[in-house]
Amino acid sequence: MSVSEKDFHISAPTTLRAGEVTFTVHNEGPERHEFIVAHVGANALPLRTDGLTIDEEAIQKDEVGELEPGEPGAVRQLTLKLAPGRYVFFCNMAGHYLGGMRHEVVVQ
Amino acid sequence: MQRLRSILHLRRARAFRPFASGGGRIVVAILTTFALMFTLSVVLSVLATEHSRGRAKVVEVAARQRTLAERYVEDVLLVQSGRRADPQALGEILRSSAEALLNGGVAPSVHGDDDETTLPAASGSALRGQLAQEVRLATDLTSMGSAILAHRPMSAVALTGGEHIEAADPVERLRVVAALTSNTSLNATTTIASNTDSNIAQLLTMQIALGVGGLLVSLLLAWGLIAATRRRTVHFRSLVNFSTDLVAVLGVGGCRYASRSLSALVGRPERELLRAGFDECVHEDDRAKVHAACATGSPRELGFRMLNSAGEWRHLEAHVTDLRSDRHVAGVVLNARDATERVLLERDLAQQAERDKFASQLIEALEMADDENGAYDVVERAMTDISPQTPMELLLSDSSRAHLERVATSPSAGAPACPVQSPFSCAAVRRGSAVVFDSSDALNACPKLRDRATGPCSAACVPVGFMGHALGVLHATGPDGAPPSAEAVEQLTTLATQAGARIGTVRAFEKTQLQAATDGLTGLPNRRTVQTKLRSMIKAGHAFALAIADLDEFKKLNDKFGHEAGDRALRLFAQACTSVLREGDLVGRWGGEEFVLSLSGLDAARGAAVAERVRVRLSESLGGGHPPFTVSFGVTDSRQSDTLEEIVQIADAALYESKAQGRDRVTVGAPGVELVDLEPASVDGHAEDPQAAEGELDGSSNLRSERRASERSHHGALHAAVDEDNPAPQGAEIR
Repeated sequence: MSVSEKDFHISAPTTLRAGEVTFTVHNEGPERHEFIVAHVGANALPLRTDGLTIDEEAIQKDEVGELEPGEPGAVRQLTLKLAPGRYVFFCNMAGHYLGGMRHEVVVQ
Repeated sequence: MQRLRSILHLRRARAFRPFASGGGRIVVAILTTFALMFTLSVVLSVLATEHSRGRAKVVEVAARQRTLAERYVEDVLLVQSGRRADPQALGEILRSSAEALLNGGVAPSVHGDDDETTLPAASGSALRGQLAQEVRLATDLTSMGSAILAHRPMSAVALTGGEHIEAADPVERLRVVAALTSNTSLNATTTIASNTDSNIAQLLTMQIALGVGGLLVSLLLAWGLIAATRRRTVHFRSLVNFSTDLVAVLGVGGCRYASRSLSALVGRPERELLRAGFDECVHEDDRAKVHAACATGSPRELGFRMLNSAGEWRHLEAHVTDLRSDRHVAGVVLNARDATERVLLERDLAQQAERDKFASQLIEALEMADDENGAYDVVERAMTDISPQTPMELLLSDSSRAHLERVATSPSAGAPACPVQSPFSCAAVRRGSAVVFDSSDALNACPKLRDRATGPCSAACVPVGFMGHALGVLHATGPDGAPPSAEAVEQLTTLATQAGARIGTVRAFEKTQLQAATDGLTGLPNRRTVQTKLRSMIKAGHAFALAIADLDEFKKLNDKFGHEAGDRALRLFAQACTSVLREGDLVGRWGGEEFVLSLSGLDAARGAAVAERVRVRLSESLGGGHPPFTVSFGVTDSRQSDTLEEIVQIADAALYESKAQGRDRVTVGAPGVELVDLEPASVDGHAEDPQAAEGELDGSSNLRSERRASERSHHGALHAAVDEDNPAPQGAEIR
């Protein structure tokens, strides 16, 4: 499944079929971006005390997959086994989540 | 395959160039390669350093942006809370710096921190993308800040960096944008730094590539140089080692190099010729010359001798090249060749020339010797020429060829005194060639050398011959064990040959002359000889009496008793004549049974007396069964005419008178005078006392008168007539 990241937006389908999914992540830049997949409940993701980044330690058990910051122009793949539920794709570099790089997906 | 092999072969068969000056070009190429690599490396390093210096400023400014973005939010908050701050100026610096980082230009100074910095435009699309985003975010940040401070609604601020901020609180929004700006700045700085890293890595790679490339090229060139040098060395070695030229390098401490050819010539391995080894092989007499050439480099051409392993002296002719100042050689180079054959040939030729000269001088000298004694004299002088210290002698056979007698002796060294008696008891004569005896004590020595008074000796004996006939031997002796040299023997042989030829020729010539001048039957001079002698006596004014004798009734004798008896009669008469005649008188056969007697210094009368004695002697000698015969004489003397013919005519007429008077008598004749024959009994004394007769002619007129008186008493008419015709002193006239 193709995912496109750019300043400061993630483009991807909003629904997915459960099971093994391979994400092909295109960083269209110009910034470096992470690709983190987290399972979320009804609540929003918690912020750290800096107010700018998601507290990844707090959602550690919900984080199902992650790609470290990739260079602009890079294409990387991430294969995950997704159970049905609500998921958020986001980049957790300072300000990027709040700046718009979050994308909700429903896996059925 | 064949083709490939031939190509390979062609490639291998390079030009034979032992003296090519190649190498230099390869060395230049190696040095050029190194220089090129070095220059490239330096240029790259300089460029990289220059680039890094600019990069450091860029990194500094890029990193500053992050701080500036955070300080901007603080300053906005401080101003909102009524504190003193200048967010506007800071925002301007933030924005200008972002612009400068992207497009190049001046990044303003931050008060109290740093100075203005001029930056180059960013390169690389990723970095430029990030910096462009930074510019947009910085613009969004300062726009939001300005809106907050001016209390304008946030919604009026258009965001250009792609942010989608949900928070409504202006300060919250400002912080998010500041965080984005800060993060972008960090990323840009990281990109710039990593670009620098990759630049350095590239530089390193290039340096390594350059180094490896340069090394490879240099190794290749060096390999080429080594190969070319080795090829030339092999070429050169092949020239030197297989050259027939003998090469040696002599320097301090002796020989420093000896070529293979030289060691082959001398028959010693090269190492034995090095240092003092060379010198030891050089002839003692030539060492000083070789040393001088090594010390001075001259003369350019040098001749010397070297001893080879066979113990022979080889004559070397060397060209001397002075390379003492050449530090690679540091010596004198001798390029020599073996000239032994030529030197020996020249020596042989010189010796041959010397021998030829000796021979030609000898021949000339011998040709000038007109008799045997002259030839002996030449032989003696030649002996001194050959070797003044060597006793020598020439022993020749006499006419009987039975006895050897010494005819020449070395004037300076005497005769070896060989006791050999006859030619054929001499070993050299028997053998017909020269014989050399090393020692008289040797078993095979000539027995005639033993027990000489001078002790043991060596000897050379050379036979002397002519036309295959042995004439004698030339004998030379030397100290025991040291016989005359081969050269001396050669010269002795020349002397023997030439002396033999000359002496043989002289002997043959004398014999021929004698035969031509002699009557074969009687051994007396023949008519022509007698005529010649008498004419020369007349010409010289020598007086003589002339008698013509004719055997009486010789034809009858021949007829009756045969020619043998006739011949014997002629010989008997010849013997009678020679037994009576004095030295200086002459008797010859005139022809047939006629003889002529010339009696030196006598007048006709005395001549008649001598003739009478011959007549008597003949009659006395007859006996022993020989048929008797007589002889008639006609006598006159040289006063009677100036010409032989007339004198002979007068004598002839007197002879005729003797015959007419009854033969067996002597008649004195004179022109126009009555001929009187002498009675046999009336003649006496002449031959018995020739001196007396001479004395009479030379003596006083008284004595002569007395004799005349005595003669007159016997032959009055004749003497009277003589006296009448030639009155006064006849003797004086004769004289």
